Amino acid sequence: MTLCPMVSAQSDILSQEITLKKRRYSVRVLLEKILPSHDIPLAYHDNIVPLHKVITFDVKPYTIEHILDKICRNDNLTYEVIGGQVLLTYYERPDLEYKYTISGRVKDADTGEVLIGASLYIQELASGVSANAYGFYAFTVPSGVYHISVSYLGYEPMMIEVDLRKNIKSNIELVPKPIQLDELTIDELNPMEIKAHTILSSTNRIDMEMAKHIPYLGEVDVFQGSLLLPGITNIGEGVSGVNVRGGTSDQNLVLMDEAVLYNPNHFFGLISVFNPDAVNDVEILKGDFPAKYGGRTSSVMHVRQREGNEKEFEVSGGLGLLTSRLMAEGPMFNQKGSFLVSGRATFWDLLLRNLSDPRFNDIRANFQDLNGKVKYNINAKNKLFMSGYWGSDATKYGTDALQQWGNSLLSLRWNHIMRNKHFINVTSYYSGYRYSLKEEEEFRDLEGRYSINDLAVKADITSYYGPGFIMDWGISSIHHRLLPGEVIKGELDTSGNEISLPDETSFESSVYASTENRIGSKLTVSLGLRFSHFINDGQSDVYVYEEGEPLSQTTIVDTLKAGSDENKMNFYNWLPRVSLKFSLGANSSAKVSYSSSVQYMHQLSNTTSPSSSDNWVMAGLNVLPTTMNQSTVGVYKFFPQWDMNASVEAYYRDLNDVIDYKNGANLQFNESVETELIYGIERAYGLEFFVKKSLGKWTGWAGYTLSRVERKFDNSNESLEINNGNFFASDFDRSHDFALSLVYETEQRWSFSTNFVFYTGRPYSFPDSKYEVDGVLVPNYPSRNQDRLSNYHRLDVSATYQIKPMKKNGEKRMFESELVFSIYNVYSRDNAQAYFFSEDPDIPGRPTVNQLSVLAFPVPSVTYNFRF
Amino acid sequence: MNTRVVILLLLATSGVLSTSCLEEVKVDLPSGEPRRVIYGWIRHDHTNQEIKLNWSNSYASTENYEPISQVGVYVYSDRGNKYTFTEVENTGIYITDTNDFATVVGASYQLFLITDGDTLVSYSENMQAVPSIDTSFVSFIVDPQRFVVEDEQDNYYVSALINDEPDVANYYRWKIYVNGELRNHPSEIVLFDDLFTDGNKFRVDAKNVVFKKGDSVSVEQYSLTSRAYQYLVAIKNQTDQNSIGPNAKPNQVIGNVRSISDPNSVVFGYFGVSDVTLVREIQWIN
Repeated sequence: MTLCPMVSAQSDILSQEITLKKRRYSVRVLLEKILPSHDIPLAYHDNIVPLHKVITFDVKPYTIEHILDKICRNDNLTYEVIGGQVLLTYYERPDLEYKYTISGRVKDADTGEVLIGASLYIQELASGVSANAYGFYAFTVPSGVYHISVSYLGYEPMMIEVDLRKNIKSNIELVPKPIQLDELTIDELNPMEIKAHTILSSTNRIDMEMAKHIPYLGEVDVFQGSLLLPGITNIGEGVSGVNVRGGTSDQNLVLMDEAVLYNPNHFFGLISVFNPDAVNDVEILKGDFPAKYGGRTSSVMHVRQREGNEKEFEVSGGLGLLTSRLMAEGPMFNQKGSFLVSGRATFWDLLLRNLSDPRFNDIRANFQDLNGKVKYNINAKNKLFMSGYWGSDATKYGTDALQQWGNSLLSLRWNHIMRNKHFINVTSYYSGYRYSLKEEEEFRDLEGRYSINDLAVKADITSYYGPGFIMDWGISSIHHRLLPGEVIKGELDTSGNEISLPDETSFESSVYASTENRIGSKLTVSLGLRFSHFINDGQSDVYVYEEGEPLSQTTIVDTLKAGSDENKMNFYNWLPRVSLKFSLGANSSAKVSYSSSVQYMHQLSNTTSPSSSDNWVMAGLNVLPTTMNQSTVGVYKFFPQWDMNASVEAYYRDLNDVIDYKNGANLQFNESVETELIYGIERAYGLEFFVKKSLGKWTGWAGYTLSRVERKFDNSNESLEINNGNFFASDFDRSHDFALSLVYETEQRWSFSTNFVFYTGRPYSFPDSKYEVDGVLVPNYPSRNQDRLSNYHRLDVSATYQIKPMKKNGEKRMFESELVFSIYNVYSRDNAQAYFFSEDPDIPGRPTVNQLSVLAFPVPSVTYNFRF
Repeated sequence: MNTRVVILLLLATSGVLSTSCLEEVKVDLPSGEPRRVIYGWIRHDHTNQEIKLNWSNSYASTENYEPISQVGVYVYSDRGNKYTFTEVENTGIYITDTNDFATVVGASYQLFLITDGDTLVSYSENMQAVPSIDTSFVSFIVDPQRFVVEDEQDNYYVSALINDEPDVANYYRWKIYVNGELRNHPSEIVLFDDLFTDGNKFRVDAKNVVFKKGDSVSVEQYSLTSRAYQYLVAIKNQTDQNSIGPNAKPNQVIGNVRSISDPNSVVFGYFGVSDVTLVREIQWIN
């Protein structure tokens, strides 16, 4: 509906543009000074015009029509052009033409922690929104009285009545609900969990409350929990890396509070760097990226940390099989802010140092990490956050070199709410990853190291124009600095030469915009576009290779000097993202989506699982970026009678210029590492079934994936081919993958859980023959991944016991504690992680096949958690 | 908590595998066609040399490798010499006719094999000078001064200082003999280069070949060409895969011998040449 009528005959007056030099004007100034100074004839009566109303503008040209619209908006006023004069007249504006915005944050009433994804549903409009990653919500609707139901899983639902006659800011605090499982109703479901309601496809959230009941080796872990979801796998136990829909682990964009993490693993990959106590929300996007995400081609795993208790000081912690942890949180800045500090460490080193057996005494295996977050509420519209992370791993076996690695993060964020409907988040962060190897012996005393350091700034804006129209837009730029490798000599060294490969730098920038628009009552459309730019600064010498020949030392024909213009390399990519959701009823929908992405940073790893020492390389003259396209079709249904979500998704993903390696590739300290790379294509397709029940005594989920992931390296030069240029199964291909997780909570102090997983053995290469070289039996592997390991299955159980939660008088104790008992691999399944084809050590010449099973025995554990 | 369980877990996760994690299994394996395997390594310190020719067989086979007999085997040097090898009684083992195969450091050698209807030839291999081992000694894994080390415990390994030739890319192999027996398990192949140590006196620790206190230990140090070094590294990577840590992806290891008649046919093995220096009876320091 048009707020003010247009007069086409005199449109030349209305279309005239004037530039306003200030941001804020009263209507009086506009009518009495600004417009007359531009020769706009005006006629109006002071009694009907709100002369004191202040209007905000940007400093830019505006049409007269736009200015008049703003003067008339939400007032009993309209305008028309008669005889070359603008006449402001009284207009009995119906209520529906007044539009106001209600906005605010949804928080936990006890702690002040924001509730990401909390549901706000306007009954009168039969429409709703979800709180964003900072708990913010906003919607602009016609004036009137509205009843808004606010809900979040595990909290008392709240109904608020709003008489919307002006813009309103309303922070909503939900009260955590006591555990009375029978009383939970479907109304409390988090709508982000009802997949049928959201526009996103290929998305999973890890429910940390549920995950706490499903420990892995006594630990609650984000990554291990994610492995129970469809489409997410890894190579095996005790190795690093998570693979999403067949992608390599470096293709996952792992974010902690908006900042990129380069190595999210601790302790041989058994646990991730995310301290579960400090995690608020985990969002996993399996390839269907919203426009705000980019830079990787497989998934986004965004871990958002808690903000800390705003109301009272609290300490929590635990002692477990692998880690011990402690966390403190509480209010600060006179209740205008909050903090959270947490730390974790393993006591394996202490245990090992004190063992009398020297074989173990000389082993070092430890890690520590620290998380910190401070929030400061400047005022109702501005908040500042500072988050930090520091982690360190160290391993040393006997006389081997000491290896150390870790991530460091520091991010600053500013949240600003503009005009109640624009949520602006500006983030600046540093992210670093470092690896070093130290030897300190007589004659050989050296340290080798590499590192990667990112400095980034980005702005993400969400504009809530209405319940049915939301726009996301933003800009980001990351400066990458890569130290590919250096060796530093120590005082005792006579052996080595100091080596330093030159630093490489690049800028990765992007601009994006996307809209989510409901069209009619059935269709919701999300259209997004991301423009991505990457420039390799050419800070190191770059070799030029003979055209048409494989890259090798012998085909180098020229060297481009570091810093020269011709050495710089630009990449530009337009990346469309589209999603359509068609409602099939109140609780079911069908979705179709398409997403594309590009990855400029690659981790080089020519082993079956990544190692902490694997370096990264950036796209440039001789290294190509990887591009990805993914299409997804899905059907989603929520069954209220069973409190159950169900979904089926089919996807097809293709990638170009995926990287593999020449046989025996040397990827460390190699100035021409591009000569070791080969490029191919990958295709992944599959069906994912997922059922999840979030409420009641019985909760849990089941997921089944039927999928295929294949790669093809076809080249006219044989040395750049794999398997004669034919498609072959990727290392991460799994035909069948089933996982079931169940949690049963009793009315008493116990809760029980169990996991069962089954999946097809991963592709493997079997030898077709053998021969002997200098007394060593050599298996011959004619082609890659034509066979498979045996199928994998495993059952875990756990039980959680709350220790005296109540006092004798029935009050809840301040000091809460619990014991978690778990057994991993209950029935001692010998799952194959690898087959080794080698000679029998006792019978020379006899070939054997040995199966490696890592945790082939039941692993019991006890964890103690506390909070006060 | 059961300490044994804890330790087993750490062992399992740290790559120090206990034997209980490895179990022999039977799997259905593809059966490939027999391929020719050529192996010969000419040593500067020997005057009688040996080339072995046989066929590969299926992985599961426990039969001996079938020898390739009645082949004309010749080695040519770039100094104009030709050496003829003669088969030892249909064994596929060919040895020099006389004990006068005196190699020259710096010279290049090439293997030719003449069979019925086919000729195989190796790439030319250059015999590079091997530096001598300046100092050698026995090091320990666990300090016997701090811990009780049993006599039967494999706790010791060879260390040495080597004077590397400057401005030359050198590649080395060690063969270690313990009580006269070559330690030749894939995990015991010792290979190193001077990429980071060029021209220096550098230290080598053969920590992957351990032995007991009092064992008699000798070391042969071989010079290698870059190609031979890469080949042996590939052999080691493909055969020494016994940890849960990152392992090399399996692939076909192709050496330096090609068929002239059928360049696409796969030939396994390697023809190499090395200068060799020997340290007998490495000294124990009490």
